[in-house]
Amino acid sequence: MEEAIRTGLARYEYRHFIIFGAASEFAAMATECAGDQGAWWEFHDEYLLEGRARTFTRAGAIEIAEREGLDIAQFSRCIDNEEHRDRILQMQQQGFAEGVNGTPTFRVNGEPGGRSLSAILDKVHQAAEAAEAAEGQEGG
Amino acid sequence: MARLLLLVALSLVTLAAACGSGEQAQPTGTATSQRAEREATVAQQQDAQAPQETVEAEPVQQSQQAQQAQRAQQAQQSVADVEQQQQTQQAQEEVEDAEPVDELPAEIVGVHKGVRSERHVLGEPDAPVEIRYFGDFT
Repeated sequence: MEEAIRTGLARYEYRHFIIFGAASEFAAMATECAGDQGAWWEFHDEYLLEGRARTFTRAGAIEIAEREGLDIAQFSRCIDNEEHRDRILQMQQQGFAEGVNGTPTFRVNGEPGGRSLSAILDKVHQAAEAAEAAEGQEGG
Repeated sequence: MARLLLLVALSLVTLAAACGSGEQAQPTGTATSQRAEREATVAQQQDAQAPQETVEAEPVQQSQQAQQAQRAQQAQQSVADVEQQQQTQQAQEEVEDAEPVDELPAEIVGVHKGVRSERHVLGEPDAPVEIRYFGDFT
């Protein structure tokens, strides 16, 4: 999947879909606050790829923010004021509107993408071929 | 002499009568003793039975206490269930109250691991395929 993104075949979008309560919501909000300072993906990687449960706290988030060189006062104010709560609820609503009822859920060009990596890649290649064919028809 | 003999005879008769009445008293004393023994036995049995009744009463009392505890636990569980339902409903209402969005605004553009990045988005904006991932960090 990384190669598909790197080669320009696909772009990858993340949407928050909170199902595990307060810790999940906090992690989402902390990631958004980091996004205000251009470090959204660093928090994404720390939370999702590293999966360090101890960091799903205020202290843990600030520890990551310090490591990433963020403005801690701004970051702390953001998480304390829950500044991105509405944004996260909007994403959740978008998920419901698209028929999402659990995580992880993939959509490839709006269609269900399956759960295994191979299934998702198959869908990506099928979607790319379909897009290419559609572009060919438009051009021809 | 005759008086003396008469006196002795009377004494013997009196003595004999006295001895006869003493023998009759013996059964009465035995009966009293047997009755006392029976009463004592009954009292012992009653005493023995009383603790047994107390012991028999305890399980009932324990059972009642257990039932009360169970009722209290069920009541607490019901309250917890109602609170949980209310919280779930509140969360759903919050989500429903949020404004609908088609696309979220693109923000700071950067590079993450050699790939163009925005908030929530990795890759080129004109890529033909969009992989959208709905996730929960925890």
